[in-house]
Amino acid sequence: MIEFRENEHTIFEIRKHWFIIATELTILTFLAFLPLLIPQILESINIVVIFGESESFWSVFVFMYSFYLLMLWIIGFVFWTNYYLDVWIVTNQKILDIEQIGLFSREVSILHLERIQDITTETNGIVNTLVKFGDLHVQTAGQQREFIIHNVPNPDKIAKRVNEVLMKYKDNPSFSSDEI
Amino acid sequence: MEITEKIINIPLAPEVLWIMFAGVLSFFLVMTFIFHHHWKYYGIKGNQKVFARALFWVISVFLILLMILAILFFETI
Repeated sequence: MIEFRENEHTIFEIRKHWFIIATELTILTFLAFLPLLIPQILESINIVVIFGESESFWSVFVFMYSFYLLMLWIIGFVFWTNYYLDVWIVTNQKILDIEQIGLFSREVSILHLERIQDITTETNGIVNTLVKFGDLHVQTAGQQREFIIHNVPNPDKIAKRVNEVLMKYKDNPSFSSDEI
Repeated sequence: MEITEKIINIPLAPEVLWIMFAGVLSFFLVMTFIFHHHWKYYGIKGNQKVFARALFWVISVFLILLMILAILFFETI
């Protein structure tokens, strides 16, 4: 659970572009329909498959297919959970960089606004340019460390918004580094 | 021309399907616990959490019931 200070409030959140999760879910949807071809393929090559003494095909097929769909369903939620929990939260005091890697790895970095020196954006490739997503780089002064959020929607607009937040709150004496 | 069908009989007992079902059910329960933990403690808010939970449970329970029915049908034929 993320906790904020008394005077702190969220200004906006940044998540990866919907295209990223949509691509992953589209692949899963395609995979979900793939086993439905098995009965047709077997029929076209004149092979009849039966299982055990009951000589039934469809009950086992339905079982296997449901089993497979449940696995895909769980994988889909792993993708969605990763997507949803991988977030940058911009507050009036800092930027929280929460990186969710799989289900069991989570890294939380804090960038204090007054330590941010430079914000750059990067958009590479045809798809990224057409769908409008790219990377946002934030350079901090303290450890000369660069923070990157990949595949954000409209990186230029987001960089502008982060800059606006910096302009408004960076030099606010009530949020000096001593207090933070 | 006569079309000949090749029949392949795969020996499979219902017990094997029940064992597979127990395995997938255990995996499902573990994953459900992990998802709910992450959604609760890592900040998925209000309506989104309710919607995600409802969607996850409805489809999962439907698929689990379908698996049980398929095994019962396989047993009773």
